[in-house]
Amino acid sequence: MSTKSHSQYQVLIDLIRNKKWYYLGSVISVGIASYFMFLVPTIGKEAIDRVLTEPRVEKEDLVQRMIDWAGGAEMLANQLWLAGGAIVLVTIVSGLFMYLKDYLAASACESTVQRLRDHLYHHLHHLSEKYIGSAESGDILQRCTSDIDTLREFLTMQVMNIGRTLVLMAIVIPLMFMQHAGMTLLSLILVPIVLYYARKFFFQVRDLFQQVDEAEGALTTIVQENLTGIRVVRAFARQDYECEKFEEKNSTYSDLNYRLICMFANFWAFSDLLCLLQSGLVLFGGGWLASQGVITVGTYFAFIGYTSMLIWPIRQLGKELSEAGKATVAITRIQEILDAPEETSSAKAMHLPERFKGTIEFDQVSFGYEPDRQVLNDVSFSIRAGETVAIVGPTGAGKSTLIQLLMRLYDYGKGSIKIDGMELKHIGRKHIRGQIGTLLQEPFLFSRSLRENIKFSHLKASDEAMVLAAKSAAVHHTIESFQKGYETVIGERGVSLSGGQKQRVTLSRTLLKEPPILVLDDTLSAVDAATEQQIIQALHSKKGEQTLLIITHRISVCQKADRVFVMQNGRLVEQGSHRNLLTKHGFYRELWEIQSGQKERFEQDVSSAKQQGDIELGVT
Amino acid sequence: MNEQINSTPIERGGWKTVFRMCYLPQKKLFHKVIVLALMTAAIEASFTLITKQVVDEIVAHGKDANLAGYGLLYMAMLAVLIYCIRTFIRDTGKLSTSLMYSLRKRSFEHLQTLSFDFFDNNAVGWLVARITSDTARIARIVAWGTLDLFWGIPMILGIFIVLFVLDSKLGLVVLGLFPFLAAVAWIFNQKILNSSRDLRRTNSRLTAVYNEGIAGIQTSKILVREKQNLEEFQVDSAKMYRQSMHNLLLTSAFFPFVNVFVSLAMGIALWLGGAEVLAGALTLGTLVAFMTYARTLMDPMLEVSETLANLQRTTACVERVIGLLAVEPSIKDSEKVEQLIQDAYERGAEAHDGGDTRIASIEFRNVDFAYKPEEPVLSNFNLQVERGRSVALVGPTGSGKSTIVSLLCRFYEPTQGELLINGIDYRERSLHWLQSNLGIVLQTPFLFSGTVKSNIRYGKLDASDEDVIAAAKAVNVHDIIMQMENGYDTEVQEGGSNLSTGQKQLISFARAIIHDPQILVMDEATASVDTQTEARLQTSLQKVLEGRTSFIIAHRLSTIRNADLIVVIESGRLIEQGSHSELLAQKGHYYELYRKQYQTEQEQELLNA
Repeated sequence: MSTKSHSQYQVLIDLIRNKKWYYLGSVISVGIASYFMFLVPTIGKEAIDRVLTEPRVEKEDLVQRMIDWAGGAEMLANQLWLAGGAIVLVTIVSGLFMYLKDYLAASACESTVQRLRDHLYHHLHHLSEKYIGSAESGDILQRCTSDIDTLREFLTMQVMNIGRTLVLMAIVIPLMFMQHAGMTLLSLILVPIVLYYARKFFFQVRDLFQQVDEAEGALTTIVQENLTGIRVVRAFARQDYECEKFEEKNSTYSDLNYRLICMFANFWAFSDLLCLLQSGLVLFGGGWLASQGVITVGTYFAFIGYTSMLIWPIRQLGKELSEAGKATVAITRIQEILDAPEETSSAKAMHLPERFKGTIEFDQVSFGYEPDRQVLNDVSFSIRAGETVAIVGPTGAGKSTLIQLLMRLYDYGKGSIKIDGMELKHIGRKHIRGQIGTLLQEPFLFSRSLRENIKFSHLKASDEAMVLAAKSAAVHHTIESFQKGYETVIGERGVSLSGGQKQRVTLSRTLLKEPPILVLDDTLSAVDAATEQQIIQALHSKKGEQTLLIITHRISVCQKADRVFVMQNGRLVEQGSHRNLLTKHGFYRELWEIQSGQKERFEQDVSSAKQQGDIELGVT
Repeated sequence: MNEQINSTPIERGGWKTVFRMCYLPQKKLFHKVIVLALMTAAIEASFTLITKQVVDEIVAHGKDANLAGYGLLYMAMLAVLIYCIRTFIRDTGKLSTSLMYSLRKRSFEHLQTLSFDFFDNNAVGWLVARITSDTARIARIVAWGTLDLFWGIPMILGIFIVLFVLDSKLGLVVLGLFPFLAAVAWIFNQKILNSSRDLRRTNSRLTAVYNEGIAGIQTSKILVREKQNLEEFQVDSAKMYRQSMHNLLLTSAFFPFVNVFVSLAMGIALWLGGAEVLAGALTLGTLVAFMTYARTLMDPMLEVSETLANLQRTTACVERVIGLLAVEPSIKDSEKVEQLIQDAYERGAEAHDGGDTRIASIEFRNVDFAYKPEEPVLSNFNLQVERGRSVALVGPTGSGKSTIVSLLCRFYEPTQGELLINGIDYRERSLHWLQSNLGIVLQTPFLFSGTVKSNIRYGKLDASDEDVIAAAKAVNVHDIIMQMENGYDTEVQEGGSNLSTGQKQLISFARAIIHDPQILVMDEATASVDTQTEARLQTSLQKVLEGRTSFIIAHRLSTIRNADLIVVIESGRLIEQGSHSELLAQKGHYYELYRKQYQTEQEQELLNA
């Protein structure tokens, strides 16, 4: 990501700039459409003045020439369908341009939104691990969905409607002035008041709107909590209390909502009053002017039409302007996500082999997620290609951190990590991740079929390879036992798998990749011991071809490894073969004693219970 | 997107029920709104007649035209109209708000009576949507739809009559056009509503894709799937683009279409009416009126067609809500018990149903149970527990331990056999009596939003602050609460997300204790808490259990060991029972379970060091 500073609305500016010709085209279209809309009452006016009333108005102008061309006013009087047809034609043309404008504006807005969505989705997948680790996924989701919706609404509704009304005013008002300045002033005199009042009103009710929203949210929370905690409610027999709580929120919401409606009642009534007064002014003021002969009856008719054409959209403008305010918040929130740092890409272009051999070397590596708390301390080791290493240690010893550094999910601070002798920092993130197969502690499967999940990282894999991977992960038989086999859809919409099943499916997904380095991070914790043995057996059949790192706490797994690393407090404290480590009286030996039942504390415990029981029995 | 599970039956012909529910209690308000709608329609339809009179006056009298009378009339009509508008918005608003209020109240209160088998089969999200959004839509459409229909239809009829009276021939021609307009409006409205529904569906699909994408970011990264993910996402976002475009363009095509119809009516009026004006058969004012009416008709036409389309759409909501209200609770007090409650209330008896208040013994006698008929969970289960004893239920996952306590709490009832309290089948006692004597601590503690204090007080609504503190002290959580930012007044966020599981568990324990229950149930209460919390619970448990009958489902040895009676269950059958030392001496199932668990706990201790 570039480091240049953004303006707050940079996203919007960039996206709109991309589509500027569309926006310009739609402004021109709406201008033309407005002009033709203006012609509808004008045709009525000319028909009334020049054909229908006596004495007929005769002026040397364009309209007169058109009338003469058509055969003169007398002729037109017998052919009035021409005037009627003209009204229809003009409306059709206006409609077509209006549609063209909507088409241009809609495709500009919608593709703007689509591009933004795609961009966000892409961006999310390249955010640094640090950012993802600290951000709340619910919040990110909201920014990507409802904030985008608000933006879409803003572009397709508010911007389009405000634009249309402004262009309409810009075209029609000058044309009205050209017809009759005095009448124009009379027709528009209340317009500024309508606009001012509407704008002011909608800004005023914004707070109340928010309160109503919040009250509705509180009501939803009550219902949600009641249903989620229904066992608690029933266990304490608190149904009545819950109803009271609901009752309170329900009536709060109702009262607020009613208050809002009452404010609206005042607004609509008063703004209707203003608009109808404006119409009345034209009707009677214009009527008086017409009766005095200052204007023609046709002009009078036309201005009645113009007024109603303008006044209602202008009243709507106030609402749109206040809605537009909401969008600014959404835009800022989207911008914040876009400004979050992406993982840096390594610029070092070097020749990388298609497939690594798999030697790993850590040299005095130290690392902390926060600067003042070291998770890894001066860790050094080297692993040969094809070697199997088991890593054991208590929680928080830094075992998983090793893997995160190896995958370049985080970048190490001090020291050096080398893969096949190449400095890890100089290998592209995607490239190194392609070489290492790993599973997260929390297995994550996508809600699609098992086939798609296993082939997730290797779409072109054959079905044979998929089945082989599933067999190695000891999950093939489980899958076969489902009614739809590999087509079984899992997740919310389908079958839910147990923790152990999930782990085995994710394992087969990773095995299908056939990576030179395979890392299992406590991956088989939810799998029973026998199945685990089976899996380890399958993995060992590839011994020598694949470097295998297993984080585990099962001694049976460690016994099969070439070497065992013991980590404690961010340091590598012991390493060696299983036999070797048993001779040292450390963590490993203690673990072994517990698991092999070497510690006879249990029997002691049982016999003490027995004695106690005997005493109790003796008493009774 | 994801079809959430629900098994609520749909109720056909729900409109009739809704109509009765809405109209009968609010008759007066409905009538008032209808009268106001009619008045508004009449005035709005008459405005054009004034225009006609003014034009005729001007043409006929020129400079001597007297417009003052009409001006006054206009002002008077305007005043009445504004009054009507303001009043009908307020009244319809009142109607819609109170309908929403009562529909929500009814459905919420109804849910409180339903049994657990209902909640097992209906997702929370689905039910929340019924109570919040469906009821709102119904209330809105009933109130505002009534207004729109009683305004729109009379106005259309009124204008038709006026046009017909003014000039029957011209009137007929213009009117002839409007059925076509009505048809076009209806078709467009259907299409727009359909496309909006598709759009909403795609939008929630997109949200689901985002949701999964965000949750699976790490997986995608380590499998280097970013590119394909984006490509797949683009398929959905492109679909969204197409559907939004379709929706927007339908709306934008609609109005030009309607406008062309209106202009057709105006054009015909000008053509035919103009000829009559020239022939002297029609006044210019009437012609102007005809042309204006053509435009005026558009509003009620559109409004009515939209309302009808919406009404049709709401049918599904109505069927769902009425269906929900029609569900009968499967566990409720029998008529006999209800009679007992009534008698007890009149007598002022201590227990809710007039029976014993003290629970001296509990007995499961030959109990069978199954959630689904073909999958039995418990079979021929027998257990007898005296007051004050603690019972630990042990056994593998799915063996039926939780079912036993659910039956005890009467969340479900045995399909065969009986559960006796003091020797009486508990179905002959009231639900409320039993459940108000229970205290339950669940594996996943659930807290309500509110303060810590109000959450503890949930167990005893009239508890004083001292009571709350005493309960917290009894379960060793007092000092933890005091370390929180605002002590007992610390706000618990929705779902308790600002507290750790251990803290939540201890608070829910305090909540159960303040209730002073005769029976205490702990269902895996310590399974998901850390060792420190576990230790705190252990030290308080002995004291708290004293004098209560308790049922404990647990894995931890320390919890099990101290129970008076240990019951081992496998596949819904009781296979061993006795005290800790007795069962160990038998070297049977319990001995094996205990040994395995012992190893696990030792290992945990080492690993968590």
